[in-house]
Amino acid sequence: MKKILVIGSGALKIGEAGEFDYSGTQALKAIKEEGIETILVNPNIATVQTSEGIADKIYFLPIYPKFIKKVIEKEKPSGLLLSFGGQTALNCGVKLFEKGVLKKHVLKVLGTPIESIIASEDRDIFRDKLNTMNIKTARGIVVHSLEEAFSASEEIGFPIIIRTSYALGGLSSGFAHDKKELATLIDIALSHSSQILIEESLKGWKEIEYEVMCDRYGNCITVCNLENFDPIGIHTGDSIVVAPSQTLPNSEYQKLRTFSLSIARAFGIIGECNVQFALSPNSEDYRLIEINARLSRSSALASKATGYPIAFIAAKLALGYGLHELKNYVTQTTSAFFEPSLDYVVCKFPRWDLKKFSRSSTQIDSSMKSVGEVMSIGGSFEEAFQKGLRMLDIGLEGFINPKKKR
Amino acid sequence: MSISSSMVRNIRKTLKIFPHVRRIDTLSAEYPAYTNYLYMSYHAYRHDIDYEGDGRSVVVLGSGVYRIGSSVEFDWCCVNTLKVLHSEGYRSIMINCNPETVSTDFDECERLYFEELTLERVLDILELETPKGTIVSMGGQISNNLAFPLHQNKQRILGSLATSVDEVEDRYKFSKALDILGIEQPMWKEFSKMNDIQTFIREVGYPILIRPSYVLSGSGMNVIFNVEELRYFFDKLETSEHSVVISKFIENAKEIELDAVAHKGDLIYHAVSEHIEFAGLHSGDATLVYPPQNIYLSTFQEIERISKQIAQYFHISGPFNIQFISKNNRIQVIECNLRASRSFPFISKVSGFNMIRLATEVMLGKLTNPCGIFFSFNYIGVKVSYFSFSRLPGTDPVLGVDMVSTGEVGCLGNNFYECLIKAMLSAGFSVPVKHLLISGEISSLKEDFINTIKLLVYKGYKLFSTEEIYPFLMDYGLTSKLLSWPGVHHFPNVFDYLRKKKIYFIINIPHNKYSEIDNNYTLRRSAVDFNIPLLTNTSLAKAFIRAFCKEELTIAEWKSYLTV
Repeated sequence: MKKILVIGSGALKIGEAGEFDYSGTQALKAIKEEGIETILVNPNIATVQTSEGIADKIYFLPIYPKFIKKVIEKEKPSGLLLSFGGQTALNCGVKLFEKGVLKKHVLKVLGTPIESIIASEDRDIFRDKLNTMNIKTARGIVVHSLEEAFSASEEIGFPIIIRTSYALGGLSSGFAHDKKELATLIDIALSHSSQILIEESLKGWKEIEYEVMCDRYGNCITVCNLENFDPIGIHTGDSIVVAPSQTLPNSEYQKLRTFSLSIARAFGIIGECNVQFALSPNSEDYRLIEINARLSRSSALASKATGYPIAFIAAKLALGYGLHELKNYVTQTTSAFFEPSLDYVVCKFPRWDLKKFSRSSTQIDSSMKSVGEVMSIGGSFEEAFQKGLRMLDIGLEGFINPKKKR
Repeated sequence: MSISSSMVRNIRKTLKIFPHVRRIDTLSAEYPAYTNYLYMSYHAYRHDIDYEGDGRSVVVLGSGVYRIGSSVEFDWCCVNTLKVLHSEGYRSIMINCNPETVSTDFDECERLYFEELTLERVLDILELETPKGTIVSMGGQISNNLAFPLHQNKQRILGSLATSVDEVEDRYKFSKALDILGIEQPMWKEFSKMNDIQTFIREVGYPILIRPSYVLSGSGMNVIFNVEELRYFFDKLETSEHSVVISKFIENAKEIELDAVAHKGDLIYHAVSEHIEFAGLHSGDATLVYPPQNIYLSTFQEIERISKQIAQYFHISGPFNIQFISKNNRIQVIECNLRASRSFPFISKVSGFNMIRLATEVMLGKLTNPCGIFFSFNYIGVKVSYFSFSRLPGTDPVLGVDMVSTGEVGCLGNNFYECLIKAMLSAGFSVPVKHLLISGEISSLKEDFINTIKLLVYKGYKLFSTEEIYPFLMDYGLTSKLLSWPGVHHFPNVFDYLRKKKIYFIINIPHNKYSEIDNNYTLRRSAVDFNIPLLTNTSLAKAFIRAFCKEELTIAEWKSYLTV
């Protein structure tokens, strides 16, 4: 491998923000260390990854197949990294693959194979695969029109959740309690995606995530698990998130961990993936919600929360290394083939800026609305929680009642 | 009884209650793990690290949480500052609490405190670190706001004096200073009562701009066009401990930005860039062009003269930014910040001259000489804002003095139009195929706008219009298909055309927010929901149309521009 093309995530947007500057920058550093030439396409001129000394060549161009194709023709790279630029880079890569551009230029997608990415993103393939593994997924039907959506809703029963494939930040997804709400959501969803999933609502269940690293030999570890403070129904990006999970007994923790590892292997992940579960608060019943076969907001959080350089190691795994062959670059002494264990608690808090927008609703739901986040570290949950509220810079001094009479 | 936080802090210290520094231990002490990741906790009883106390440390305050108006650009500034500290032989210490940044990465600094950017916590850290000094001018508004309180607590701030930062940030004090210097600014007065405002308005006339001090990205800023809006704003106004200034709002004025570095009051490097849109649109939402294409040499000289005066008066050392408006060759100052601005990375990357490096060297007291000015005949850079309206159901995708963009892109090109089209495509716009809808207010549509539309017709585009626009286009001999408003049950209807995706691009010119009618809002919102590119600013719409009618795009990497 002589020259590798990395695709960035473009402008910061709700659902795709600074985390991809972090992951792209680490990936570029990891490749550069191997003496491989790096080409970066990212029009986000304010990022660190588009600075002097990170990539060998930088193209400030739109993340569109048309432009990436031209860069490929010009630079003739031999490898392509898609998983460090969020959904934007991934979608673009899938289109290049489908148009045969990658094949024509003998360009190899490094890390998780593109077929696996497609399988993890296509709701039908995804569900079938998990069914064969006896892993429970939420009951759902893929539809392509309003008529199909109506009949699907009758089969599943209201309330239902609507999701589109290849969506970031839960864009154009939402809950519908009746046919009227369903029609409105479907209308909008269809203009963004041709494939829509109608799914049983798991509102009120716990939302638990695992960050998994996997190498090409099938070695797998979970770096960390994250527990959403807000239940299913609130987008993770809008939820307070705690690491490690605080309310799971060992049996639940281990069950979901085992599932995560086998799913990562089954999908042929090479690098990093994020696995999301819904867990019933009243029993050990669970549903697998989705997997992200790429670096995500959660992986940036998990990386900072544990001190495990997820993006850096993921890039090394994509180059073909095994977990056992790498050291943990943060600690310098330990191996990368270990599961971090924490003697502290981490909280992530979202920050909204909704009052800047005219006519915006301040209700949070399954579509992400926050524009930023902070992470706090404490010796106890309470300490981390109070710190996090102060970090938000919204005038809070912690979880206290300012109106309470002294 | 009311008690200040500094009093609580003092009591806490006398009672010997201190947070201790803990090192992040990924391995729960199962194996030794040495990291430079630190946090503070009241659950600890000793520090995990030893302090050198050699005065070779420099602390950089990060940007904290990303919000509209403060995001990745300040992370870039901080990371570059850390690099310079390292190469100049200082121990780089970072305080930040944002997990989506590079400045909180394991290999960017020598010690990282994943901590609050509150006065209390920063003081705790500084008292342990006893650094050579603290840099507050790279993390945007949160860190800059700590300059004065830290100074009051006897901490050394590197760069401009904390008292100067305070004078510039306080709009009342700053406006006073400009008066002393004889620098023009829009007519202003300090806000106190509704009656006072009305007296002021009788003097200067509508529209007026209301601005509270210490604000970021225009929050709480408002342009007021008439008495109803004034009442509406007055009801909404949140009480602020800082002063509020009202000024005359100048319409149809050009907005110009200056990003600069000064050394002990001497201007040593500066970059002038211009907005495509007229003043009134927040600078964070505006389209920025660098080097500027439409500024008189005399304007350049005047801006340079004023900037030198300001740098001198406030004895600026380090990065700063001034915003100007220019109308009929009158240059006026509207805002100044003694810190790195949002546009520093864009300006630095277009010119290939890293302004953060220079600013940091200045702040470290390194001898620095004037560095000239960047100019290029061969290429330019354009920065375009990205809006996340599609992710916020129901919001009106309209722009104003309050910033609403969540991100930005910047591209390089051989000329303005090529560069603009690249940047706009990067920001999610697409070149419309055939059908274009023009709607909204006609008062801002002038002759040159019509000429641009004629170019489209010449290129074979089909025009669609709404009520007010239809006869207006007719007057200029342009035929368009009239579509009725969404609420009206007449056919052909705008909403149907959008839903069926028969329109590929929409220009909607809003007059101003308060007098807005629902139809325009519904149209704009539908554009967002149905994923149809929408522009609401005539200047940008004109430039975009000219750009896509014209240009062939070149594919070239960053450095190949710089070496031309």
